[in-house]
Amino acid sequence: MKKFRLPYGVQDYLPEECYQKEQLEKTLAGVFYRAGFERVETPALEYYDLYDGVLDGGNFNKMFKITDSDGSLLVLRPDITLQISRMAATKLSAGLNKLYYIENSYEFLPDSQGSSARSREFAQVGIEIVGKSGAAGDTEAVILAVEALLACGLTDFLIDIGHADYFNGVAAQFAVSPAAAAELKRIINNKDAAGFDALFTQYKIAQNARVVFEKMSTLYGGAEVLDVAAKLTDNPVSCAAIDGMRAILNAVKLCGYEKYVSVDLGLLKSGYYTGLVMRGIAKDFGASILDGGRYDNLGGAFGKKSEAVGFAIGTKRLLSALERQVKPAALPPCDVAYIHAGGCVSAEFAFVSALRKKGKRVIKLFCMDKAELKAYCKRLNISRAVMFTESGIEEVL
Amino acid sequence: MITIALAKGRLAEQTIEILEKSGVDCSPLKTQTRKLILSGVNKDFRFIMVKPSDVPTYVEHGAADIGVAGKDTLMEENKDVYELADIKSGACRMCVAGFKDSGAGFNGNLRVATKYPNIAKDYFHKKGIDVNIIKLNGSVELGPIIGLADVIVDLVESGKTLEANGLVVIDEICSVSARLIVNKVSLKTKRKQIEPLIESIKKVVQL
Repeated sequence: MKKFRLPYGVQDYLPEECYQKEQLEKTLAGVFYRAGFERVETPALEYYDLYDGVLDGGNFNKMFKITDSDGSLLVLRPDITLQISRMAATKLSAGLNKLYYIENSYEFLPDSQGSSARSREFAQVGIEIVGKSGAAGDTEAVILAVEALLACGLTDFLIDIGHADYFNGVAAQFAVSPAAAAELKRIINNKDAAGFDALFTQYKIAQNARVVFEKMSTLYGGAEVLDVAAKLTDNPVSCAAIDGMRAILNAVKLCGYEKYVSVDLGLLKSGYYTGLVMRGIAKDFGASILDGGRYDNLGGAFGKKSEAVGFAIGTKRLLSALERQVKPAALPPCDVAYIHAGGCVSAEFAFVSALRKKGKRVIKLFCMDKAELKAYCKRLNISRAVMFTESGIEEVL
Repeated sequence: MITIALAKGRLAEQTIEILEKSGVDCSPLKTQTRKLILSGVNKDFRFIMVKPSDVPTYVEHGAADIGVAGKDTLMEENKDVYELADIKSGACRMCVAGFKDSGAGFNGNLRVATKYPNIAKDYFHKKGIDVNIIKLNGSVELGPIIGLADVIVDLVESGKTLEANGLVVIDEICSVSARLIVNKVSLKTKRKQIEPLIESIKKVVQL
């Protein structure tokens, strides 16, 4: 039966789940639209060359690639943020652009990784604030993330925030080599307490720096963490990062959202992030549902330097997280069902379109008699059933 | 409630001992049973018994909050989890082994038999050596003897199995021991239950 199966890592959305996904996308889009964001769409296919010099080596293996008829290499969209950076740098006006998107992204995963929590095709809804926004932009991104998840009905969640520059400041101060820094980031991000020893024997790193790096993976929690972090180092880059995070936490508190935001200075994402990083997690769901941060260098890679900050919500993951906290609304039944058993078509048309204009869901059924219609409506909780006959409209239920 | 994934077999006993000293009620684990999921009287913890190489998978997905897994499995599976402590048990070394002179031919296309294809691939890739990985599920030492492979990549504890089969360690890739791993979300969302447990486990391990 191989020809009826799906490849690894993709799925069909059947009506019930598709309805819930659609509702979620509408809710999120509404939140962003009302905050003045404008929707954009990007193509699922792009040139592979576009990412040359933008992404680092490991990411190229994670793209689906297709050869074009002229031999050039195409990829299936790996990351919408990259595309929006390209769009902003090459096509949008230089000022502030607040954008949102609802798209699928693709990650090439070998199907031997059968136990992976990731999918090859995943739906995302996200925002990007492109243009000068500074600390206020970071704050807006965090607050909007909280409001978006709340609007979907999620109650028990946290937005973890960190800052790339806290680590970068310390690494620069002690002249840590790029190779050592990459390895350090991985260890700190995994809170791999045992990993430091091996690293410190392999790379020469000053004792003062070691203490800060080892401590960094434990710096998570509320605002008090920032006080501890501030005492660990005095380099201006790291201090500015901490001040920035304080400002965000203050704003969050003033909005009454402090219970939804926490700090993790050990949250060090690889890739293009240059400042704030954020990650949304929900109770009883094992993976992150929201990811994002500030990426001020991406625009430059596409020819026009620009500030930018944004985040993406994994729609499917958010749906799964929601199912564990609140029951998502079920696909509602139709309001009216009817069959045509002879009689005037124009009467049927007038009756049905009047109801539909009022916003009622009216479904036409086929190959049924009166009793079958009645049974069908009872089974599916449809409250009204109508039959068109030679003698006019007959209410069945 | 905290769900703890335990590796069946070699590691289980040592892990249970450490958990018990850390104040976790492990009595349900001591009764003879074929149940795969066991919970204590006060329902603070429940245990799931899984295959060692599956521990990181359960924890990555959040099906278990905490697990104890060998560093070898973590390296091979490369899962997205927090690796909070080295619990020191099950210590051994990940090695390249073969006949005394197999090391001389570290060029051309080397055939490598191993249970750890990713670790082996990674190691030889970094050395710039082209290899042909042959995945085996056990008795890897047979590879060079029977002529299936030139060298093996495997865990070496005492070296006795190698010795008995006339093989020697050619290079040590890294040292390996059991790690306490935690789901990236659970650490934050169940912080009040998980953090004290981790602290007491760390203390027990250091004794």
